[in-house]
Amino acid sequence: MSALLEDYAIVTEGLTRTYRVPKPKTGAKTKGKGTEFVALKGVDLTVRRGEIFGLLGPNGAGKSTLIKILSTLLLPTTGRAWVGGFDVEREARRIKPIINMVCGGETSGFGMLSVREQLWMFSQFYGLTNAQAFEIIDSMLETLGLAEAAHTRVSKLSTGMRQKMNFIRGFLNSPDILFLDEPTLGLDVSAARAIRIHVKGWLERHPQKTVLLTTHYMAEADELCDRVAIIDQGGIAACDTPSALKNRIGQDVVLGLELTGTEPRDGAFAGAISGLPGVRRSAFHQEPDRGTTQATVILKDDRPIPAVIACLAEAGAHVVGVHKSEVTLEDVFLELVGRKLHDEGGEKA
Amino acid sequence: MIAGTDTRKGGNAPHRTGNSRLLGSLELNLRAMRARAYVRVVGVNRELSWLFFDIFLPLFGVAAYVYVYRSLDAPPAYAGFVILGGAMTAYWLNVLWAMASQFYWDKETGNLEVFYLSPMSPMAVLFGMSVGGLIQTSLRAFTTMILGSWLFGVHFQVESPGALAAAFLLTMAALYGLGMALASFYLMYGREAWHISNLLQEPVYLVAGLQFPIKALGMTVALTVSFLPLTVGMDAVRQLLYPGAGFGYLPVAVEIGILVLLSGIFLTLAQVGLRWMERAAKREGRLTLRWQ
Amino acid sequence: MAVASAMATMTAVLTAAMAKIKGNWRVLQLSAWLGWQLESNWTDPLLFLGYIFVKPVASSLILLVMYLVVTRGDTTAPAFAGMYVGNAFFAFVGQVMFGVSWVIAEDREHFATLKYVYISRIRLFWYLLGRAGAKFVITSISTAVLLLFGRYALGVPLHLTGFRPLYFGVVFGLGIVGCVGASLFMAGIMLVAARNGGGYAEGLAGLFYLASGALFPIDILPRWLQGASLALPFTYWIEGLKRALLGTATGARLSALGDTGLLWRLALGTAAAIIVGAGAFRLAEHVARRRGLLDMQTQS
Repeated sequence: MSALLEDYAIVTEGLTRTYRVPKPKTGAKTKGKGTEFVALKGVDLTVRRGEIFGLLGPNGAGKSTLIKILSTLLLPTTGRAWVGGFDVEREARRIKPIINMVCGGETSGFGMLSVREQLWMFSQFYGLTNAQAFEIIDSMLETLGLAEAAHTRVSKLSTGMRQKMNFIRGFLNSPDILFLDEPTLGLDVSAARAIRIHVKGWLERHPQKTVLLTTHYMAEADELCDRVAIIDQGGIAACDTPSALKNRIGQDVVLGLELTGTEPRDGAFAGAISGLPGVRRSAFHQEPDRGTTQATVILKDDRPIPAVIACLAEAGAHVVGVHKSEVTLEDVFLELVGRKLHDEGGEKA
Repeated sequence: MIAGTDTRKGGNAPHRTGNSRLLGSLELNLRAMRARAYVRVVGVNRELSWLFFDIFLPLFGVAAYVYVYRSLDAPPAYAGFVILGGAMTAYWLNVLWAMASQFYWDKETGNLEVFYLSPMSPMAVLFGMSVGGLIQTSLRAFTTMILGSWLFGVHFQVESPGALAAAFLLTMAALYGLGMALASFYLMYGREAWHISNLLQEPVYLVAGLQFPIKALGMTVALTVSFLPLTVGMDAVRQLLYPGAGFGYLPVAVEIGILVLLSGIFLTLAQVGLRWMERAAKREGRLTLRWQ
Repeated sequence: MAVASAMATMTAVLTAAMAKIKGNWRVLQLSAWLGWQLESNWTDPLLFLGYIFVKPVASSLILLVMYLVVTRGDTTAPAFAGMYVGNAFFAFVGQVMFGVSWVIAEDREHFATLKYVYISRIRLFWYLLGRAGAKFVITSISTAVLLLFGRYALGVPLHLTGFRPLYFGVVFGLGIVGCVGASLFMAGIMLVAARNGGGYAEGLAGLFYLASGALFPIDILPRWLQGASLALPFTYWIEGLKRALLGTATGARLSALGDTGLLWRLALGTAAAIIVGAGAFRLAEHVARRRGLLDMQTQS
């Protein structure tokens, strides 16, 4: 294990976390212990030093729970985890100086402070001198296009600007291991791009730093991550480099279909083709803007394509477009989990 | 499994000796404390509306109690009790709402997560909040004293300024120590914490003797509630502002001794409680739980 | 034909009015239920009952000790009785006013639901009134307990023989409407103020506590403050309640007013409170929309 800890920034061993969901307190009926919800089920994971590692999964998959445990905010129910070689349960105090975390969509801080003051305050929690703190703060404000807002009160910032400020907070102590929990959630395209560029640049300048990233965005994971773990219902479904994961279904054919002219009947469509020989997985989602239903069907090879189209037509669908597409992580997720990642709602796990 | 092995690469901090590690930790926590206190202090300057309702509006309540005494033909010293009580009320309210339940607000806004993510001790945050809160509240307390005394023609007689300063500062140390202990207790809780603070407000006004000499409740009750810094501190300050009037229930020297003891007890309780509650909160997943 | 048409119009108007009343009643019920849940579901019912008694009993005991420490007299004296009853009922002013204004701050910033309530078809007024209803119920329970405690533990002369239920009912009802007016005023202030503006309600309640003579005869206040007292509906409300429950008038200035005169002044003051409160609320609502404050987050 010690050799493992030397090479790896993060190691988890059979990590399990359950939450007790208490009964609602309504009237006098407060007795009973409620139910248990399993957020993580025996997760085994290793993240190498210097790696940018992605966690992909739908809402409620356990991504945020895993990050909370690794960042010492939550204790595991069973199993163990080490961050930077330190045990998260017993050596939290030694982990804290070498980590930081940014949760997208969350904005901590005090509204009456200016952006620069707010970041200075956080820097003091890591013992930086004023000179060190302001050097990092000013440079990052510049890089992320927030320099003009440096003296604006936090309460006056837009959501995106606050999120950028929160992102800067994560880099103040130049952490060895950085946890990015959906860092671009809700940001516009250019702001999200600025953040991705910063992460890449930071890792290029500091090759020993490690990033654990959770994201909903497949392209983001594909662009940034050295390796990706697909997590679903508290367990790791697969873990590899993005290209290796895509190669897993490399022999398969990913067929994209555009259907129109019918009432949405995704269940019927899926049922119609599920039994066909050669069809591995299928997923349907509607695009109300275009008035169409987009289908993704993973096939063993080209041969079932006519049968798929015929069955869909028989089920009432008008097929207006057919294309073979490149394998994406989304397709990998569909292959492994049996549904599309974005079939879930909008909340974070 | 890994105990005793030194295979770790992590950490920016260079290897340090025991002494330099201690100094480093002290510096870190002092910086964190200053930063947290800074927020409180600048908050007063930047939200001028606070000045209005923190300083002038509470005077109405103080005035109401002064008129109660006047309607009963009480000696003028009683108006002084009310004004002193009004000033000390500010500290109690600050301890309840801005100390004890602060972690509840911090949890709601996401700050608590950041505090617990960083390597500083949470005690540094509590100390910072105390120092900032003390400075912030002193403005209200001293204005109440000055305006109240002027409006109602109250005169205080300070014969031992040293003892008065000692009694006041020790009361503050013990009171904010209690606030820190309560804050650690509230770490686990959500909306309940808000209600508990609300519940504690008036009963403490009563047993702290904010409007009357505590010995009016009888020696047994007075001694029973002597675990409250405000009760003992108010009595000591009252005796020092009205020397020789016989309003006290214990000699000032004894009360100063009790305050020293209470400061130690509450600070220890805060530290132990914080550690214990932090662990419990992490175990139950309540450290980051919102909208409870 | 014309009669039939008029009848049909009248029926349609009545039906619409009934539907509106029914709709508002449903909102009132729903928000009162929500208010009750928020007030009470954080703990066990037993602890909650203790909670709603401890605060008012403690503040009454403060007055009791203040009274005893000076007079060493008995608690059946009219001075104490007036102070005790005035304090017990004044809780409605503070609680309802603070409660309603806090609804704005809490719904806007903590639960972030104010904007959704605002854009829905229901009227914010009825929603606030319902939420105030929960506060009203809780305060009624604690006031009733305080009166019983006063009567049986302290010997405050609250006797059924001297009780004037009709007068009490009219005075109490008018005063509560006045509380709603003051609450609307404070809710308006909160619509345009930061979360910490909750202190304004407490401050205003403190001013009313001082000026309404809840604890002492207004005669001992400075002349200029007596003028302010006589302009407040709560002065007449507290005085009317004392007369209905204790059978005695308080102080020279208010004793000069007969029961009917007092009632008239209370009615006028209440009407003024409602007009000023509703006007201030509508104005604040307009300002809040113009400045985009309906979903403001104080974040401090």
